[in-house]
Amino acid sequence: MYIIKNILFLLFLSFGISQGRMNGFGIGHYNQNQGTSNAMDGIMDLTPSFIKNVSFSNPSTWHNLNFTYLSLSYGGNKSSFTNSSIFNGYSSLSNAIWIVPIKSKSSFGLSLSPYSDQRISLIDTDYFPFYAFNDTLIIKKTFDRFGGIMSFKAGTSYLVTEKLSLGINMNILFGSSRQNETINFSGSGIIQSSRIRYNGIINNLYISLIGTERSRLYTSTTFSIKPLEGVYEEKHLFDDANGNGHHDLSVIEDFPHPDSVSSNSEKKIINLHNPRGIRLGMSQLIGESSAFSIEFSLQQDNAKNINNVQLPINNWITNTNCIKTGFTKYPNNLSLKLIDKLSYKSGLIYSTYKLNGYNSNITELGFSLGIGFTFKTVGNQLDINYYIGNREFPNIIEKELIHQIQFGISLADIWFVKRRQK
Amino acid sequence: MKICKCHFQFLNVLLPLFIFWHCSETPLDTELDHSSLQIDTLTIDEISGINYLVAPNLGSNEKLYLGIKDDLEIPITFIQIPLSNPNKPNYWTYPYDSTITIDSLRFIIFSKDSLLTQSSTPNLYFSPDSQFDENKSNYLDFQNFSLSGWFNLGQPNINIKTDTSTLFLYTELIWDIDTLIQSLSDTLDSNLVRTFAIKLTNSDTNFIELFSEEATTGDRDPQIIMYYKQVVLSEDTTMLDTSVVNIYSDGDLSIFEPSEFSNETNSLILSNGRGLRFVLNLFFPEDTLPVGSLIRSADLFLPTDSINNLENYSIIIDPIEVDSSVNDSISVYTIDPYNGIGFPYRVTGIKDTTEYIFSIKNILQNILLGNEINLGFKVVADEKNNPFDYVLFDLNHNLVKARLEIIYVYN
Repeated sequence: MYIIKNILFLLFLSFGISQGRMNGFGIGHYNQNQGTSNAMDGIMDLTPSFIKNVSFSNPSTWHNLNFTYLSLSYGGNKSSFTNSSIFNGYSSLSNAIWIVPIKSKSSFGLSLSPYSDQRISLIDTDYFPFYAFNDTLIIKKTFDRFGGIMSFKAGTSYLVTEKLSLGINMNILFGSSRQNETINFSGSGIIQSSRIRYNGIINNLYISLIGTERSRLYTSTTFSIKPLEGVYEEKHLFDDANGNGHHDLSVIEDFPHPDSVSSNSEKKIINLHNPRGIRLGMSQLIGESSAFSIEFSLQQDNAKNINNVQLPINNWITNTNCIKTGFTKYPNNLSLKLIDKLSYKSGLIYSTYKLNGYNSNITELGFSLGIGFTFKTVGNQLDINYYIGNREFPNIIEKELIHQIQFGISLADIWFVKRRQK
Repeated sequence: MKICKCHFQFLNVLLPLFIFWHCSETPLDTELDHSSLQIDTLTIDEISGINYLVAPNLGSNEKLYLGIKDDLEIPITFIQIPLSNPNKPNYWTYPYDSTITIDSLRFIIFSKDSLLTQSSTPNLYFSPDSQFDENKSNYLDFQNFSLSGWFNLGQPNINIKTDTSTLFLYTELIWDIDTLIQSLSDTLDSNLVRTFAIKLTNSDTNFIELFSEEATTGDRDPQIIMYYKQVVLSEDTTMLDTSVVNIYSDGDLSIFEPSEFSNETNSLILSNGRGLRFVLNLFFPEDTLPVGSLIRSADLFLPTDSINNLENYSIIIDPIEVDSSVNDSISVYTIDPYNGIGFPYRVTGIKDTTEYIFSIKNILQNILLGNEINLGFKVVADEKNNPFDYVLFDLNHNLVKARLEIIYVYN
């Protein structure tokens, strides 16, 4: 019954809740730029919002956990455009993390989360005629990209002094994408299909500093040990007579016969994504269990060879600047009052994304509101978070409205403790 | 060491998460000017052809012919009766079955000529030894052929069949061949072939058409009908069962003997009855199109000469796989020296007003891919066409030249 309920719940999510225009830029839309990256931390990354002094997104705070946590977050996204009936939605795992604190001095953790979403389906704004042998062919181009990049993070923290702790995340990127570039005329499309397999390592170094008793400073820097690279494989053009987007045989056979063609040799393209950035955050306690926090982040992508890949939208984001403010009420799982077991987190975000060669930026303004419920003495927690954002693109009148909902469950327990024999 | 069970309950959640990883996609409008896919066209008019002659074999034609028509003579037609039809018993053993009495044997062929009279019918001949190959034999194999030594069964009886409204259906030509029972069922002859021949002799017509075994699925095939009685023992009773079986022909062939066909133009000619075919050469090296191109359409236009304009005349083009013509110096080939690849490249042309159009993108794409070599194309008339018809092609027509029009996409 428990499993059935889970499935029904997720089914609802899966159908109810996108590709946005951001997915078409560069190597896709970065998960960190899509509202809240998980339900537990809400909109904030560096500053704690899960429980007091702990942010799942900031390894330098992990040793403040009292128990080992296994946490899962699932999110649904919806994008719609003003003055348009276009509606897109998807849902997916947004974060799975396992953190083990070690004697309140250090910690290590593993996590799996999407890094970038490349799913997008584009259609040319105009038809254009092509004159061939006394006939006029009406041409329409489309571009579909599928897949994305996942991030497997291995992180650790260490309490250097009572006021200073360090954390590091090794962010191993992997994944693949398939591009279908199509030229449609005379009833079917001719498709250039290609595939890229990605890999790369990006690191984040974190520092937590206790300023006064009630205020803390957090900072992180992002750098690439191995900038993202891809192995690019281009397939032979084919006429997708059966319209399923794949070069295959069915009742109606694609042309030419799939066995008669071979792919071009694989090509390695290095430096497709090479982020460098810095983030700064400050948290100020208000009372015993509430905090106000603010974060700034600057990130630059020094990708050198992104031009060597066919992109859905012929551009990519070179700079991302962001400011976030948030208010958090932490839970108190030792209290017997129900109200104390609830946590709240809300925040505002303003981001600008600079496109290569553009003077004007993509801007995003968003608001997030989240509620958490702590249960059992170890501090298990259920979280739900809603984000709404408005995104404006240069040279495009339509604005994109983003809705996001995240559900999270975090289970705490004591791991790796040898029990006394009875 | 303790690992809480509840943590593994996450698996219950994780699994459906990945299973139900859905999305809904409505395409977004955007400019795709940067798309690298381009469309272009190419016209090739370096096309030439040359006629050649293959002794005609029309074994798969749906008609049998006898006589002279136009410049073609069909002196004889052969019909072969099998040992037995597929999945049927060997009826030729019935004469040796003590329970069976064969009453009569009839050899029947069919015509759609309602005016056929007995005096205009051919004579039937039988030989237990003469052989022919429906798919290979031609007039060159029968140049000194004689019917002496064959059993002459004379002319048939005519039976005109009509429906209940007395509308004509077909004409039966029926020969009484009771005298052949022993010859047809000879078990001592290890090489027995039941070959019949029909030939016009002493008739008042010089040309007739009959149905061949390819025309129908049995009912109007040339056939032998055996009428017989069989004693059937059932417990304590004995019954006499009168029955009939049809033994259908499994091969027939009219021998076409063409006289020299005068072609006073520079046209290329196709004619089954005359054995006229031609080879088409078009300039299409592997690097004709940009590397990686995909041919969307490749239509070969062959203009026909205006002096004959046939409807429903089917023409086939087949890329040449093996060309053995260079070793021959004869004017009429016994077998076609150009061996076509056949499926999947063999295509039938579509008749337009003044030209035939062949879609040959499949073979051209595979030439581009290096899977096939361009040795030219063999052009033949479908064997089901009327063998007396012919089509003239004028590759350098005043108004429209022969050409190959290609629409392709490249990256």
